[in-house]
Amino acid sequence: MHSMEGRHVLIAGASQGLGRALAFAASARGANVTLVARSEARLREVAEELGDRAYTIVADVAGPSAAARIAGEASDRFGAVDVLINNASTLGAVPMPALFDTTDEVLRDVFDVNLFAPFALARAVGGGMVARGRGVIVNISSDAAVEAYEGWGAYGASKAALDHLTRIWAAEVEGSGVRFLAVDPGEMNTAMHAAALPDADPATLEAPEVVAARVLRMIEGSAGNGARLVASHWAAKEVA
Amino acid sequence: MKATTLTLPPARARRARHEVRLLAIDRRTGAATRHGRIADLPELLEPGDALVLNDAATWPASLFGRCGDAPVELRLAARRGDTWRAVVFGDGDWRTPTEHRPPPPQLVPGDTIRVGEDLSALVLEAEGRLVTLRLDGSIHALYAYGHPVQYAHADRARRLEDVQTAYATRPYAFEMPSAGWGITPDVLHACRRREIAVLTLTHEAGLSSTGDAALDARLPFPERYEIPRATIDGLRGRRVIAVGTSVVRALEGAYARFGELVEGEHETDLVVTSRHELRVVDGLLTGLHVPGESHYELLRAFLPEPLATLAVQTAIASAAYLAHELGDAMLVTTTR
Repeated sequence: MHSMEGRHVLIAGASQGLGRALAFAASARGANVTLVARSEARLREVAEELGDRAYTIVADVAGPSAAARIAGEASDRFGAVDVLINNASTLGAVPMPALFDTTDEVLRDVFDVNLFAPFALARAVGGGMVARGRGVIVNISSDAAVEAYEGWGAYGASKAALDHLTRIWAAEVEGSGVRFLAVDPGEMNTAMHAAALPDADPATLEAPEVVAARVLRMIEGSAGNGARLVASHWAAKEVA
Repeated sequence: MKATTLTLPPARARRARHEVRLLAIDRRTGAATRHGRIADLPELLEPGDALVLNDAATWPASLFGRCGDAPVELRLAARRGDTWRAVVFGDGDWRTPTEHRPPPPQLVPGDTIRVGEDLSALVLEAEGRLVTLRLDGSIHALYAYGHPVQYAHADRARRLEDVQTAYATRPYAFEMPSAGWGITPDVLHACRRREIAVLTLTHEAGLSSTGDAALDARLPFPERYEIPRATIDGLRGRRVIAVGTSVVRALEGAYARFGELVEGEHETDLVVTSRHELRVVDGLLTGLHVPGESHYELLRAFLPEPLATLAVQTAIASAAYLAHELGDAMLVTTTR
């Protein structure tokens, strides 16, 4: 019901893992995709495979004026952003320290990337979505936002804050035609997962490509504004 | 009070969007119907009205560079494909009012202005300080080196996000379409809930000042605009409220040229003044402007004298309003 064909999908954190897989999946469904990441080399590699319907922006989403620059550049290339996927995130220090060993700097850095940057990007493109009466903003969350895993303090707290931001924003735009969604993609075989849990057995982890296909079906489908979707359950549950 | 003595204090610090004050003026009498806030906009409009926004994002249009040894500032003023029109300023920074900046060196075709390692500008044509350029570098580089055009009366330099309306979309404007600064997505959402159509177009709001009296007299330059089909269909049969002079210029300019609104990208050189008979637009949300400003001339198309003067006198008398691009707003509609 919300086809990706011809839509402009902006993915922050698109050079590897889930973001990269989302870029390929959205492109395969006919979307114009803007990919944002810090690594120029990895980004170029993805863009070369995607061809003309992909545009890359090398940027740190937490940098000064990053949201306004990214939104402007992307919209100059492909027009208004129809779908924003806030996928860029950081674990902070690895191995992940207990909260007593977490410095203020690490906590701030994690919140800058995982909360402030998605907030700024959503604000930069979301107002235009309300003016047009349509658009989807997807904030990638984690089950660490819900469960209290030891060592996941900075990351988990930032994702919990992002979840709550998503819910409140959803309440504020209810009825406008714009949807805010939170997605917990589950445990995936990615570089980030390996950095967090190096001893995990890859065979127990989902391929990001499989998860990306599910996430896009959720966006295209009728997932309601404010839903928190758990990709591994293939189910939407409202955080009530 | 003579019209030429009317002044409003300029806003030095930007009002937060929700703090923007709104003076509602009745088009028939020039009298105030409300001294309020921008959040009052939905209830000051009628169900069935169409509110038309300029959704242009603002380019980082100011580029500092060197032509040979001479420091210059380029202020981009229009884009036509890969070529850009720009006004050249001499040495100085944003704190210096444009009319007090030293003149730039006389550029000639073939000159190159080096902005950064991966961005330079080749001069194709030059007419005084007005030049046509080819930018050699990416849009990414333009965003990396460029800054918003600054206002000398402001209290601090503006960041790129400080010169975007809340609903800015495609970079198309060279100075912020500032009439809509206070309009938050929540105001738009409230308009829709009141059955007020919210529609968009995109207009290339250009520079307001060049630092050269002869060039200033030619402002505004012809400007591009694009009206989507959904907006043309959406405003049919409705009372049309334009947010900003750029929306008036796009809609009235399209009608003046084609006799109807047409979709796609076009250019207009229409200058709306008191002599212009409005054909599309019925009401206006604008900043507070005083006699002598081009925006005030446009206001007089909605409020023939002495009503425009009366409206400005009302704003001054209440002492509640700030002028200029960073200030408050005035809504001019026929009150039912």
